[in-house]
Amino acid sequence: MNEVIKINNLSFIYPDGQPALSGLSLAVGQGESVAVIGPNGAGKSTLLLHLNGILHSNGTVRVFDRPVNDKNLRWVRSRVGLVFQDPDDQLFSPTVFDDVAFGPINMGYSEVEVHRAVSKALEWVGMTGYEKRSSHHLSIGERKRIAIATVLSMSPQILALDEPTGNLDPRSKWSLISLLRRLPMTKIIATHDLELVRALCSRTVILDRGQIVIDGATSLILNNESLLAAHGLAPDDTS
Amino acid sequence: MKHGFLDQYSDRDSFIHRLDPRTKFIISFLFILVVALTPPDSWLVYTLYAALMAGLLLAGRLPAGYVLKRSLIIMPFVLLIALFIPFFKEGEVAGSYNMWLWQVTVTYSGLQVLVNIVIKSWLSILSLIWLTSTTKLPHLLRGLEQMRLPRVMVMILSFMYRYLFIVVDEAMRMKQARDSRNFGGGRRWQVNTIGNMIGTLFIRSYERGERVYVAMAARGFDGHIRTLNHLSFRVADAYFGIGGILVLSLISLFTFLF
Repeated sequence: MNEVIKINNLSFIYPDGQPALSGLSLAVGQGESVAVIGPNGAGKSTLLLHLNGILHSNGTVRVFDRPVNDKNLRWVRSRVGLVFQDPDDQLFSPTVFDDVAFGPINMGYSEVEVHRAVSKALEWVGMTGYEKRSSHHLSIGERKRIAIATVLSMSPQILALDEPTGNLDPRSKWSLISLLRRLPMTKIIATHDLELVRALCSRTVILDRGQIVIDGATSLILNNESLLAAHGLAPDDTS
Repeated sequence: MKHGFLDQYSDRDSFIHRLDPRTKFIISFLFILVVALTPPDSWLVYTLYAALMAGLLLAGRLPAGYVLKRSLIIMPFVLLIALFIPFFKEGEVAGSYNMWLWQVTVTYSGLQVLVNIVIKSWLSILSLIWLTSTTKLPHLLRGLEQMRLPRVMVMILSFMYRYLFIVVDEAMRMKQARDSRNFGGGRRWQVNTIGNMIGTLFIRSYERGERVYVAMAARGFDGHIRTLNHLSFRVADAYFGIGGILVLSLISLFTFLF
């Protein structure tokens, strides 16, 4: 399989001395949907921030066989779309259009291309006609969709999503899951929503204390109750 | 939680609403300029300016009650600064009072300055209310940007517009959380909690700022602010702009005639 992301021996320590990732290696193939699950503070978000060069550290992250470094940051950011947990962080412009257009404008698209990219991205997430709305007056489910549209407008080949279903009620959650299933990109999803993992990802990685505990088929891992319990993902029988 | 918009009524439709934000900005700026330059005793000129502003507000289909209420907001600031002028300005004495140890005198010219300051600031704030209530803030920002206001400032203003409500929401949630655990307590203790809340709010906003920056960087932001420009003047803008400038200069000419 064609590897789109290859992480080799990645370690990261936050400036306050707290270790977040230690010696992590991971390879993701084209078109895969990989779930990264683990307890709070396991390093899931930190891992995602490495995928498009927001954080750098020793070890190497390669995207489409090019190293992620300062020289090709722009290129990497157009390939890897990062969707953050809180849509209020991602939607910072006065109108939906401005937010979805932010990436394409930074990528230097022409005005016509920007408009085309925005309407296509909004169509993907089923939010056509919301261009002039202000994000503050949208529901949380709608804001999550717009947040995804803000990276789709840059036509990325890899989507990295941080807790896409956090804070959503079941109906919005399932409609978001079916939306994500329709997107053809390679997906890396950091979450602790196991229903989402079962519905969307064929492969699962358990991350705990900055290290990969196990990497394998979702059906095997999610049925191993004692493994899940040991890493804070299922009720602990011993307590 | 829902709040009133900063730019309430800006989504109504009227001839004024459809004008280019730049036209409205220039007219309200000129209005403030000529009002500020009006000599103190030209009451007729003030009346004409007030009539003109009333006409503009009516044309913008803004409710009078709302406009009056909002215009009162600046009065405390103006009064705080201007209230003492009648006591200090020298001139013909209008009244003299004994207050404890001091003899306090009020002069006519001082009173005139006070009234002038109040009228001028009130007319100016009306013009700003007219501008912001008939223009959507995103449009206004785009207009300012095309008028060469530095993009960093436009961006700061747009962040303010976007995050003001979120910070208010956060503050209200904290207040609810506090009230649900608050069973009286001394005044001193309550003031302490408010201080802590303000501190927490500041730290949360600061951290949010960092997360927003990361979200911007993830979409290719490299410190250069790039935007698309959409606005274009229409014929109505030319008529309104030229008409407005003519009327304003006509009224300011009255100053010399009377």
